[in-house]
Amino acid sequence: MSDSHDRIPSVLAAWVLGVCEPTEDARVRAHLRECADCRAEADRLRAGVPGRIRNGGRPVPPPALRARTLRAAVGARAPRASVGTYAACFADAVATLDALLTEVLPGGDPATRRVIGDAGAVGEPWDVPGVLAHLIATDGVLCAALGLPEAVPSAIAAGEGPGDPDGRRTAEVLTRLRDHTLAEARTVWHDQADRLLRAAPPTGDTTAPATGDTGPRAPAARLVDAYADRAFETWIHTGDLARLFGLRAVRPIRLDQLIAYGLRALAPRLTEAPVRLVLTGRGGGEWILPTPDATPRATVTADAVEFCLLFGGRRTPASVRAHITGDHPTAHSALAAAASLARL
Amino acid sequence: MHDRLVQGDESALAEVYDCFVGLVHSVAMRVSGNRTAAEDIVQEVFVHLWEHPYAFRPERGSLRGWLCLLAHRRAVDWVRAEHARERRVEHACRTGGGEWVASAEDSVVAADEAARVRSALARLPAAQREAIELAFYADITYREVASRLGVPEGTVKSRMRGGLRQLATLLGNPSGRGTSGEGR
Repeated sequence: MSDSHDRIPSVLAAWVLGVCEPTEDARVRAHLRECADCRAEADRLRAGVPGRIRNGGRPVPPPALRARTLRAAVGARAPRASVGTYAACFADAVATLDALLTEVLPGGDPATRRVIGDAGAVGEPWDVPGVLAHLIATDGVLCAALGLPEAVPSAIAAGEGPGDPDGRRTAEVLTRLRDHTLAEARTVWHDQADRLLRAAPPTGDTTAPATGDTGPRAPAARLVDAYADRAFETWIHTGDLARLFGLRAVRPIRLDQLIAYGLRALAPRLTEAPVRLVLTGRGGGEWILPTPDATPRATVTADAVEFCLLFGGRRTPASVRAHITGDHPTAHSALAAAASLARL
Repeated sequence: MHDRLVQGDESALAEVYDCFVGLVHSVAMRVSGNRTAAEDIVQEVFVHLWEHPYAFRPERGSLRGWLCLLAHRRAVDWVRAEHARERRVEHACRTGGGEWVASAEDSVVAADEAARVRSALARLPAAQREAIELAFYADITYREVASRLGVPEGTVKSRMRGGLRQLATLLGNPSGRGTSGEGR
């Protein structure tokens, strides 16, 4: 008799039902050949299995059910906005944060009725109220630049004054929305983001100037960068919330657009540190920076998402999971340059 | 796939539907025994996945298993509500969508057997019933059932065992059919 006998009786019912793992299935079969007691028990349990049900023909769902179901789905939750290619990454990011908020702000939950003023959010900026206020503030900057109405018009002009203008605007939004519930603040954020998306029609000119403003916090000069910037920031903060609530951070469908945006900003800072950058995984690729004809002194290999987290200030040059070959000081100064772009 | 659902890519939902509609419909049909109800449940399950993509946790098991579990629960809820309604209306109008129908392929005998099994399953304790039905209709391994329900594997195994023993008694064995079974 095999030494596994003690474990077999407990798993016999699952085995009779055919829901064991394959390796376990083989072990049970081997054991039953040797053990009359377990064979008898298996027969008793089998009497409870209505074989006719299991083997009966499967009813087929009617073809019309497909269209009906898909129609009901997009009625319950709108698909990501259909926008110009250059803004697709932002549409994906907005849909992602919205889906996450659906999960963490369930209807009827006290959290939904909690008003922002109760949140103590200025000190804990990356809880839901902090993230919403921050995105309302920073999306608002692009709205203003594009001549769209701002959700919470600010008294602080873009780039004006000392210190961190985004932080001041965020604090201002938090104060102004103090009596809003989280659900209401979510609507304020989403409506404004949606205005930005609707201002990015599918036939938009990707290289058109976004604004004449050139202050330190002025939106990027080109629409393609301005929308990638909004996507990047939304994605980074959605990741913060995902971690906070123990949810999975998604890999952006248009990660390539976020990376292209980051590399456009990074390249001018690498004139003294030419590197080959190998970003792995979907959305990745291989680049030689600062220009394709430079002679790289080092190669930095990292997952594409990991590298984006470095851009986003969620990794440091020391903590980012990157593999370096060649001249290490060059590689480290490239990583430091990427990290210095973080301002979220 | 989950990434695309979260990011609102509706083509991902169409792909998931095409991949799993047969299974989800089968679970709903087997448990409810009602065509209209099964179709409604299919719609509810896929709409729920689309509307609440974060409700599905990939780290806890397959999408297939999650959809089956959801279909099963909705179907059980439907059966409960239907029984309550029938008790209220007595047996007056069984035509309003409450007709027990088996699939076109099933023989009348199989339909009788299906009804008999459903009624036996309905008499099991809820936890045993869930474990057994997920195994019958969805073919989810007991490990995945455990992971999905957040209970130890040993608990699922003993629910299956207790449930099968009771089913064997409830279904009786008048014709001797079943003891030889189709065996796995």
